[in-house]
Amino acid sequence: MNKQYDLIVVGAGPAGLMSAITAARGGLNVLVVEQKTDIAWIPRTCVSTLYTTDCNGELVTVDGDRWIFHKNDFSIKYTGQWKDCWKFYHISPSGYRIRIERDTVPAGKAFNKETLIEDLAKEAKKSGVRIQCGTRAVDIKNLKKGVVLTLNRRGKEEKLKARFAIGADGLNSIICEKLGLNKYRRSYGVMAVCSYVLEGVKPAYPDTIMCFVGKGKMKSRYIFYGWPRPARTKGDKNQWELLYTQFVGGNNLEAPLQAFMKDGNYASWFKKAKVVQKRGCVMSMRVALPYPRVENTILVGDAPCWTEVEVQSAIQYGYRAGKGVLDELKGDPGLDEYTDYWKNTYEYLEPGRTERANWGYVIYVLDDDDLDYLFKLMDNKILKGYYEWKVMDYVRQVLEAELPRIAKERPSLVPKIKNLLPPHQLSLRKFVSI
Amino acid sequence: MVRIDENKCAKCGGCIDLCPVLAINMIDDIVIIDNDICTECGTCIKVCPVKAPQKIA
Repeated sequence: MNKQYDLIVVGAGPAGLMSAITAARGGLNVLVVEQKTDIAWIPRTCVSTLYTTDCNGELVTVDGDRWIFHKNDFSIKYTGQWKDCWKFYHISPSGYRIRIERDTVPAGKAFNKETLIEDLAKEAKKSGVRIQCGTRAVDIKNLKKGVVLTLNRRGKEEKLKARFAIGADGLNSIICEKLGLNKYRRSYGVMAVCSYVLEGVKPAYPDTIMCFVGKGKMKSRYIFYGWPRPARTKGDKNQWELLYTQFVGGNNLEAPLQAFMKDGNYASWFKKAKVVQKRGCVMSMRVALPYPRVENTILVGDAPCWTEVEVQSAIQYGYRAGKGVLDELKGDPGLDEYTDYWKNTYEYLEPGRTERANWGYVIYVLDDDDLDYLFKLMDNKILKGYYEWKVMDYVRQVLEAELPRIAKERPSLVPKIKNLLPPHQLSLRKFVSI
Repeated sequence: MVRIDENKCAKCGGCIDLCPVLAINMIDDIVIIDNDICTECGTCIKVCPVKAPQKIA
């Protein structure tokens, strides 16, 4: 294959595909390489939910079979099903909740990511993008006026040149690694995630995304997430996903998942549940890149971010990355316009911001009785906005505001909370290794 | 030598990403370790959420 591409995109996720679609619609010759054989099969755990509030400088609404990106003024087609989640609860061991509830629009709209990728891939092919599966990029070098990628296909290596490259290979991005971008990115450690896609779950709260914390009947403290998800095929299969996460430490994460379902505080929900798919994820948690570019290569989606950029933001940044390449080819500073846009909109760029977003989670190291007390304090308040990381800002505010009341009702808790709240820096690793 | 138990493997790709010598790839959607390249550093064993990679004699 001696054809010279204008753009090679590494990774056929939402960010990569949207970059490719945008560039190809502008007339460029685009190749996307993807290591999986089946582009629309998603074995990597992803809480595929569309958040209906402002997220990274963009607002997305759904109209028929299209997602509308209002600030950037574009839309994409999604032919799949939805599970509207009107509530998001953090639940303490005895069942008290931090409640986010929306009434005019769901807190989150769970979608089927397999179908989304299929739809984006169809659009890419229609726009003239070439997608080559079973191909993994293992190295990248910027040249004076282009890039050269080393690709591995079934054990055989080949080199391909292009004018530009976009690294959209997600968390643990090898493009970031090979460009030397990880050298100065502080790492918080590696987190492992395991999830079960289940059928036959009977949750006490339908249409709700849930985060379970505490110890209850489990062997050690935990954080589990659970949420309803739409199936890929037509019809309501009543699917639900249960997720467990912790820093890597040599444990098999399936054991706590099974224990939670069999012996946990909410085991009755899972009496008739069966596992239809097992998924996983390993996340090397690095601070975000403030300047996601090296010469003729830009990074988009989860690759330059901290933890996760959310699917809707991956598509939004993919669109801007594609536009950036188009403008650069016209002679405008398109690539730096893309990096400026990233710097001005991505909410978790500053390392301190991400730490502050997680400070609320530190309360989850408290014991069950304290958690029940605190959540009971918040159980009759209903939050209206929802974006996962912002929940913790709220928790922190409540704790600060309620300190006088806690001092009266439960004085033993005050020193514990004071040690956890800012300005005390608590390392992320310390709070999550529960 | 390290081999991945295909029955346990969730195919999340974590070991593929984090192997320091790029010894692991997904070929036809099966995760395979190339033991000619593998240095037995144990990273894949440590990070796997389901403990699929195993050191064998």
